[in-house]
This record gives sequence, structure tokens and C-alpha cells, in this order.
Amino acid sequence: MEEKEQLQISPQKISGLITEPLIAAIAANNKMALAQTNFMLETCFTKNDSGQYKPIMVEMALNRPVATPGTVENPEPTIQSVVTTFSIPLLSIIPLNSLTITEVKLNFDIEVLSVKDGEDNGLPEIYGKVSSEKIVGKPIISYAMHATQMSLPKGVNIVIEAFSQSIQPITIP
Amino acid sequence: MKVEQQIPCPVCVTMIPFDASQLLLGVNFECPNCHVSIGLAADSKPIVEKAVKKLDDIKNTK
Ligand SMILES: [Zn+2]
Repeated sequence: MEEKEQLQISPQKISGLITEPLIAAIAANNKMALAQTNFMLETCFTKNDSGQYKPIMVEMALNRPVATPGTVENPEPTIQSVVTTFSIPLLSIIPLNSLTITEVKLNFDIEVLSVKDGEDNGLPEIYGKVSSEKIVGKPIISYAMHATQMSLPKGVNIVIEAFSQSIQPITIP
Repeated sequence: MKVEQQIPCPVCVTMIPFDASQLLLGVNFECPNCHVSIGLAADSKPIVEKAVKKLDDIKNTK
């Protein structure tokens, strides 16, 4: 019990206690988004001397059954598998949108210690202490929050879609 | 988290769902409409492999 007393931190503004973990998550997300953008530009594109980016293409094999009609000697039609190759941008097959924080869960009680007049806007500011354990018999604010973010920014999806749409098959002779 | 990936079928433009890691293992994915199958050409495997590994590295440093 005594040890726990020593670990206690001084009262902080409740607004900060709530927003700081979220701001940290957003900052981490931004860092990942930046890493993702760099990855896209460095790994999925080549840059020429005039600074233009060109997508790196990969070859895909397309297997298609082709029926050949029977002949007089051999009336049975034959089905052959024909392989065609086509190029698609590397960007369109890399699982990109996994690079986001998908869930932030905050769950804690805040022990309310004091209420002071706000410095900036005159609104009262509540000061408190975060507790990882249930606080009994004292004024508290229970806080449970759930934030999610999942999909890719629309712009990236549009780029991937535009690339995917321009897939052109090239038949091998 | 699994990413839902798909590319349009070069024959009929129907979306073909696929998985990049399976694609690297040599798995072919079939078009649900016209039943042609697509897979990664052997020549391109190293490029994709390298890119997927790099992406994994970024994920693991978060
Ligand atoms: Zn098809």
C-alpha cells in the first residue's frame, strides 16, 4: 500500500489525461502513414532524372482453358490451357492498408481532486488523477473510449484503382 | 488484420479477390465469373517478395 502511495502522480488537467493517449496514437498513426508513403514511392515506383515517378510493373500469368473443335479423324474437341501474361503495378498487389492503428481502447477512472477556473476561456477546469484500479467512495469520472481507423486515404485507393483499371493482357504467341 | 485485396479480371473485369502472401506461395486465384485463373509469374516473384518483406518490416517497427 505504501509503495502505491509513492507511485502516485500529481493532479493533472482532465482534458489532458483524456486526450494525451489519443494524441499519442494519432502521432503513431501519422508516423506509419509517412512510412507507408515513403514505402510506396521508394518500393513501388522508380524516379527518373526529371523527378517523375513511374510505377514498377510485375508480371502475372493468366490461365485460360481454350477449346479446340474436333477434326474428322478425331471428332472429340480438346481443351487446352493457354497461358497469357499481363503486367500490373506492384502497388496494386501489395497489402497496403494494413498500416494503420485499427483500435485505441482507453479504460480508466479519474479521481476528481479539484475544480479551478480556466486560464484561457474562463471555463472551469477539472484536475484529477488517473487510477488503474476502481476508486470507491470518491468523486470520479469513469472513462471508456473506443476509437477505430481502418481504410486507406481515398487518394491512395484512387491511385491503386486507376492502375488496376489499366491492366492490359498481352498474349504469348 | 487481413486486408481485402482484389484485382479486375483481365478477361471480364470482374473483381478477383486474392491474398498477396498466398500469391507469393504460387497460389492461383480464380475469377468468380469467367473462371480463368491468375497467378504471379515466376520472374516477378522476387520483386513482390522484397516489397512485402519491406512492408512487414515497417509494420514491425511501429
Ligand atoms: Zn473473369
